[in-house]
Amino acid sequence: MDLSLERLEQRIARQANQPRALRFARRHPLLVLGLVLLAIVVFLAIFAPWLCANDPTEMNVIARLKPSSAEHVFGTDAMGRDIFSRTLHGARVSLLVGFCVALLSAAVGIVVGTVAGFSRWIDAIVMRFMDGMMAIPGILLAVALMTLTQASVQTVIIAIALPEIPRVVRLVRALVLTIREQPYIQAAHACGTRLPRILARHVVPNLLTPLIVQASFICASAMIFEAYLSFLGAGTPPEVPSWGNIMADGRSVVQLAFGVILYPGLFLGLTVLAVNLIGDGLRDLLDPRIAKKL
Amino acid sequence: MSTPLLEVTDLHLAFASREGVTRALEGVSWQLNAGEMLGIVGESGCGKSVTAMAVLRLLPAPPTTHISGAIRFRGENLLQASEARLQEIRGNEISMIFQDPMTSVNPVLTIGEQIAEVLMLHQKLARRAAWARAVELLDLVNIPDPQRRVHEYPHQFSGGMRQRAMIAIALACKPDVLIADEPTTALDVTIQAQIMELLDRLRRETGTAIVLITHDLGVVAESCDRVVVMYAGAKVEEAATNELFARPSHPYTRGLLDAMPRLDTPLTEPRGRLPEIPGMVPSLRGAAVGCRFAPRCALAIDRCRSEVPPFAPIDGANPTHRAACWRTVCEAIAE
Ligand SMILES: Nc1ncnc2c1ncn2[C@@H]1O[C@H](COP(=O)(O)OP(=O)(O)OP(=O)(O)O)[C@@H](O)[C@H]1O
Ligand SMILES: [Mg+2]
Repeated sequence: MDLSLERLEQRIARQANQPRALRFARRHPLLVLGLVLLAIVVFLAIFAPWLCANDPTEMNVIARLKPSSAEHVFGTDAMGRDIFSRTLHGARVSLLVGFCVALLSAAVGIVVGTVAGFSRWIDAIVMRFMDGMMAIPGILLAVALMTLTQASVQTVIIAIALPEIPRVVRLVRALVLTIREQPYIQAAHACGTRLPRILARHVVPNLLTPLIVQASFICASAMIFEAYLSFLGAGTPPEVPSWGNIMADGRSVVQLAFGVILYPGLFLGLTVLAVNLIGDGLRDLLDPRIAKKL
Repeated sequence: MSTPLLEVTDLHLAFASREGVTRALEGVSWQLNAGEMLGIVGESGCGKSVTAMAVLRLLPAPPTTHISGAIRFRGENLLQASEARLQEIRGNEISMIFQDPMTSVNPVLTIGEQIAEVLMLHQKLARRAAWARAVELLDLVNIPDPQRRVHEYPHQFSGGMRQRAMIAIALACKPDVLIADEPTTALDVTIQAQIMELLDRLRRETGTAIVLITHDLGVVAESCDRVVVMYAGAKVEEAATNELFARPSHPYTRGLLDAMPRLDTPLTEPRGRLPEIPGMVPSLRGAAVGCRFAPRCALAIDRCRSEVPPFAPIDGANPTHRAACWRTVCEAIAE
């Protein structure tokens, strides 16, 4: 037998003896990196009230625009509020918005897209409606919605999810239309499987891989979108310390205290990167063809 | 003779679309007895698959399809059965295996899950019992190391193994009838032989009657008891396998047999090109006037072009050998 093949076999055997976690980390380094980064951000967000000595909304006129110090790790903003505390509390808003938007649009997308893919007349109605929604730029739709309703985190979530939904529905419907013509769906019919079960067991699992990847990108872009809306003053209410709001506050003092924009921006960037890495990693992990590769 | 297990009577099937009406089947009848293997042969597009789909009622709903006639399973007309009753029958009493093993299994579910699914559905087995049975079934269809293989995904199976897995799914609930729609067409010759052997063995062991759809007469010769020859949506000849190969009566059947490569002529003899049937399968648009095969038939007379030939015994001695031809081959030779 080939020498290199023998070596390969030894390697596989060696890996089989390694702890599972280590094997997993070796096989999916980027996924693990993303998970670790996200875990850190989630940890900081959850324990923000206990980790920060200062209140995120407490103003202090004396300590305005201070650089980093032992008391204010990231410095202070124009109103003397602690940036470290604000950034950590901002993580709560961003994560909440990101996950809720991804979940909401994916859930609506799966249900509406699958039904549209299987029923002609529902399809005709739903898709024209989606086309109409797609014709409005997402940012306009969101800004309009925010001005019409009272600014709150929930309305931000809905305003960001709404323009995403038609895209997800389109994706799901396109996938369903190809999946429903697959011989294995016919084979499932031929086995006496009922339609709801065929949808749940044969159609939806085939959607999940592309959808999870899409959802992770939606999650990442929703966080950016939230910052974007807040920066424009059409997002999370200004008293809530979201990353967009912090950066918006720092806009006018950028030359005096760069940290006001730098730190929340850095956190935003890293969190978005983490979520994107997880999305890519999950795609590989969930694809059975790639999952068992060396 | 007892009542047949599955009986297709005067089945007419048409597909309507904006471009017109396709008459896919025009009065097809056949019977399948318990434990029997019936071959259905014919060129591509002659309506073999749609016949199979019609039996399981898997065709698109009206108005796209028009279906008439009767399909009786143990005396029950499946064309009038409710959807709930059909779901009970499918995969349980009548099951089907498809032409392409590569795409007929779900890529995101393990083989075990797909076998267990039908068992839990029809036999109401618990998850554990269903998985145990799945392993047994994989063993039954000669998949090596079934304990491990049951947890694998379809892409880890070769084409031949997937077809075996499909057979395992189809046989999971011990159906009375198995419809195999070109089960070996997508596979290479040695695997073909193995799959046919497997089907033959399973038929003997489990008593499942099989409808074997194929365009390979060699496969038919080896394993079928009786053969139905179809041409352009109609049955043109039916006989016991030996009888059909010994005395093919319809010119189309003759043509099919002549087009088969023969292995019994010595290699030293010049073989030349295999004779082929001239012309093409006619369009299925519009109603038939006369014999559908007439335009391609060397023996056609005027009557063939104007009157549809009845399906009748070719001679009094053997009523089971029947053909639809005004001039059966024997007559033509006698003249
Ligand atoms: N859903 C459909 N709508 C319209 N026409 C159809 C449909 N399904 C089949 N047909 C037509 O019915 C005819 C018979 O098709 P069928 O699939 O039964 O052929 P076949 O004998 O199985 O051929 P092959 O050997 O290539 O599998 C063909 O002319 C085909 O175009
Ligand atoms: Mg076919």
